[in-house]
Amino acid sequence: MMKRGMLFTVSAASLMIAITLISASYMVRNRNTERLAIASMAGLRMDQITYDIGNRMHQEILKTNISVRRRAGYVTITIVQPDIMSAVDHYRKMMDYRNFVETAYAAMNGVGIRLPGLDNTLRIEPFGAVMQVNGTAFRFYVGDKQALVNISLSVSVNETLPEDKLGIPEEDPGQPIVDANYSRNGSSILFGTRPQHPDQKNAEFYKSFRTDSPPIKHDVSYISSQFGSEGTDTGALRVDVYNLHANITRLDITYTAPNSTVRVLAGNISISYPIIGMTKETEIVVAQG
Amino acid sequence: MLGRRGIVFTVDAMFALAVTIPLIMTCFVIVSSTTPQIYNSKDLYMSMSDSLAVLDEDYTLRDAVTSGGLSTIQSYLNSLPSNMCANITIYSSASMPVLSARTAGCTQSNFSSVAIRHFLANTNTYYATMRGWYR
Repeated sequence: MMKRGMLFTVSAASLMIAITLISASYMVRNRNTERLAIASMAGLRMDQITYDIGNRMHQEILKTNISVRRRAGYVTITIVQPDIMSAVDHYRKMMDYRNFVETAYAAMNGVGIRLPGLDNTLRIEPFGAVMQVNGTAFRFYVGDKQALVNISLSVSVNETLPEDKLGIPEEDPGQPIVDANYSRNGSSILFGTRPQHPDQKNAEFYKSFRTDSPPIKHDVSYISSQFGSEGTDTGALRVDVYNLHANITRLDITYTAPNSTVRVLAGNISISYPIIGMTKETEIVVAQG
Repeated sequence: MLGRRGIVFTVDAMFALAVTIPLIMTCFVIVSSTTPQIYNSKDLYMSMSDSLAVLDEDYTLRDAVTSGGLSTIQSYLNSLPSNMCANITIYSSASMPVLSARTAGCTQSNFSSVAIRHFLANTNTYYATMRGWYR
């Protein structure tokens, strides 16, 4: 009788201990799963924030449209850049945006965001090329001059004054070819195809406008572009306007295609998620091909 | 003799119940403490995030700010799945609320998930928050 009682007691105690252990292990496993789910949620939010910040940023703020296309051993970077004019401060626009993201937007998302290197400049790798637009000046530094094949620039201007002076540079045979085409109201006002040495200070593709009412004033407004050296920089394409509003309707820069992917970069995004102590750093890739 | 044995059995049974009931209740509490809230939150977040992306990409958010009208956003919110409620609020870059709309027939819930997306309208930066919850 006593032995049977002991057996019952031991069996019941074993059963209860087993139930307790199963419950405890279930709880531990569940907590781990929840921790992973929270980390996964944080990763998802960070991905979403990265996409929200980087997606169409330059297109919406600077109206810059840039694409990369590969064909037959060449790669062409195509840029459309409207609003080259004094009334637009491209640098300020990007800085305002950066400030907004790093403060109000980050606070609302409950994360820390930094955008190092983000301004009105784009880098094109692996060529080491740089594009920059600010107000009346557009610059493209081609970087790898050996790989550069061709530059084709089309610009439209909104000037209504009569045409004035025209300037087209000399040829440098054997050098990268530079096409310049200026137009207004759909009609060409300057067209030139000139091989240009990237290390020389070449003359400009220049078109100015005048007033006809006395006293006649020349060069009241103008557009000029030049490829070559600029200060200490070489391989620089510059487009400048004075007193007019220009749109780069298309700029094609063609290089011999590298083995690696061509990427257009606009600085970095660093997002820190304080709740789980996670930080994500990534480059802002505007285009690639 | 029989009376004594009965008392022992009764005391034994009561002791067993006193031990077993708290133990079972403890196990029940532990097991039921598992909530699917985090998974619901993730699903809701993805849904809100997708919704905001759609409203941004088709310029509904921008148009709402430029026109000051909420009809498109309101009809989008009303067309969400019947078990889901959401509230969209658009803020200026200075974090001032500009516009707000909520799914018709919904009241705010304690459990919700929020997605945020920014956009440009009239060259100014705004951001929209979409808070979603289950009915």
